[in-house]
Amino acid sequence: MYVEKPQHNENDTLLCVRNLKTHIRSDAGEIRVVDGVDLQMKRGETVGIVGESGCGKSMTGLSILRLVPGPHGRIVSGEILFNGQDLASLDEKEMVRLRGNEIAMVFQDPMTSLDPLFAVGDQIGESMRFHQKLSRKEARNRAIELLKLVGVPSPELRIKDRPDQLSGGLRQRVMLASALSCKPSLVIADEPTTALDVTIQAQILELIKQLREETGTSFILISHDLGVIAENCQHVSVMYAGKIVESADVRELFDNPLHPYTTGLMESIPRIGVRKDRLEAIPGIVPNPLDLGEGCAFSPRCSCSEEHCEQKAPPLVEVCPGHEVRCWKYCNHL
Amino acid sequence: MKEFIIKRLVVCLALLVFTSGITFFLLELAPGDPALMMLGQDATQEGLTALRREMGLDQPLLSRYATFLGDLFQGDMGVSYQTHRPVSQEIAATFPATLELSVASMVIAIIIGVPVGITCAIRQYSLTDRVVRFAVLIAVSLPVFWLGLMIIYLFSIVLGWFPSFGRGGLRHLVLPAVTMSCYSLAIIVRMTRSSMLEVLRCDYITATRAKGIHEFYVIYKHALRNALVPVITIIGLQFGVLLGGAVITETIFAWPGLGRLMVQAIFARDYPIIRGGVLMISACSILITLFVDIICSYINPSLKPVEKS
Repeated sequence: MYVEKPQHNENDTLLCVRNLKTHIRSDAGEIRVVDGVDLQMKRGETVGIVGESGCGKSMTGLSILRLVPGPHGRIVSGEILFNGQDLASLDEKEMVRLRGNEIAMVFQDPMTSLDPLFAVGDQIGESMRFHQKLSRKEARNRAIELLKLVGVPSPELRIKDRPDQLSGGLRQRVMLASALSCKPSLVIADEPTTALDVTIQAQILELIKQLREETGTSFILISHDLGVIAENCQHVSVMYAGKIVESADVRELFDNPLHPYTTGLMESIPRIGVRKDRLEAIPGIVPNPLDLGEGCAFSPRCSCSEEHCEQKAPPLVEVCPGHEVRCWKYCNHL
Repeated sequence: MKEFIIKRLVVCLALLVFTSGITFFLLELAPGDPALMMLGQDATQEGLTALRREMGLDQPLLSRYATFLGDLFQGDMGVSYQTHRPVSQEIAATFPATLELSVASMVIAIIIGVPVGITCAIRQYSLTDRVVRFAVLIAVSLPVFWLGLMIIYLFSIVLGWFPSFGRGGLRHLVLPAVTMSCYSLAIIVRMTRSSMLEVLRCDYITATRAKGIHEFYVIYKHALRNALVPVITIIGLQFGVLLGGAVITETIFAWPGLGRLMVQAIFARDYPIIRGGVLMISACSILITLFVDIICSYINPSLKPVEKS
């Protein structure tokens, strides 16, 4: 079931990322982890970024918050327009004011993303005490309300617990409560369910959906799981080797996947009712980010690869309204 | 917690008895005869026998140890062979000086070491970091006696800022304390730096930054508290080392402390003083360790002893 895409006008653009490039310096050379990513989302929308490990999807999320791990990582170029303001050119002080307040982030592993030494109530209340200047007591009361909102039982007792006293599912709920505490307009959820059991995964996704509807918060959902994306997003971008290779509305993408990588991803999902001895897999491995060459990064693994694919990288072209793909196969549509 | 402390104190007591045994028997193995040392090379055989009987050295080893232990539990550590004063008095006269010197050195090492370590971790690979790491390497490899002499030469003889020997006011304390703190300072810087670096890479630090918490709080509230347990452990160990290892510094600066007393006692085969001194230092080290464990369990509550219901 998909949530119907609400009508927006041009002013409703919440986030517009243009040609974002984030590099990490290593001994072996400069790694282009995010290599010219474009992303656009409207207020209230949920956008998914999907791709294999190491394709740069998490780094895209961190780049938006300007939290690329230093001293080796840095944003090289690009615009990150949030509410019309370019985050890439803000100074650190203004960025601190924005983080957690306007844009919040939920991390992949709730086991390691909460400070082990502080009570969860303090950690939820922390950003409110900074951004909204709440007193300790007000922050505590708000933390209890938020824990109630994310469905944590007996929150009055739980706020005193340290993270190691909570289960993984509860911790991720705490992370969500913390992210939502200052009513941000955008939450970047980086693989919010990957580290959880399947049953807990479903609960957390359901919770995200419900919170989205109740609070009107926009989400960027980063995942490697197409199922998670299909259930929760209105728009999807598929990333490969630091680039967006296909971008479309969720229904369009699933009905009509164009890029060979996207189709490969879809074929590698087991389906109930379809008997198969072996699951389809994309041949080859993720390319070495240091050695991407001039051509299309996917060409060594691509079944439709031709000679010119290896020589020149294809541009991102709009095949039909709202559906863009980065593949030479579709460039004759221009 | 109370139960834990009491239990640990009992263990400490057992440890001390064990230490006393080791010191006692090791000293027996050491060459040299106290009676001979006291009477000199040309003592007569009769004189030596008489003195040994008087000192109880003619008794079998185990019975002497039993007597020593029995006396120890009554608070009697024996009498110095040299001065004939009770060992407890000798230690009481010198230990405060050693404690003063060790505490001063430790305070210097902590006050400088921890912030410098933090700065290096925040600015990893920067010029500051590289200079400090080089300085740490040098500080760790400098022999204390050489450093002490150089410091005396520079600050006492050339510049004339501080006195070069003896115990007195704060001015007397400066040079020996600085000399002695050097090694611990370097160790603390290194430990703080590596511990902070490890914590700063953790997900929860990025997550805290993502909440829009000021960098100052990210570093000093979240990162430092998480990085502190190994640092405090090493500080405790270093403190024990300082108490017991003040020998060289105390000798160079003529500091009337326990270390110097013990060196003199070793040369004179004054066994009661050596035993008493070793016991005193081990008691302090053991107590410091206990204290460190208690502090660490407050910093990181998951280290608290599990209470059985």
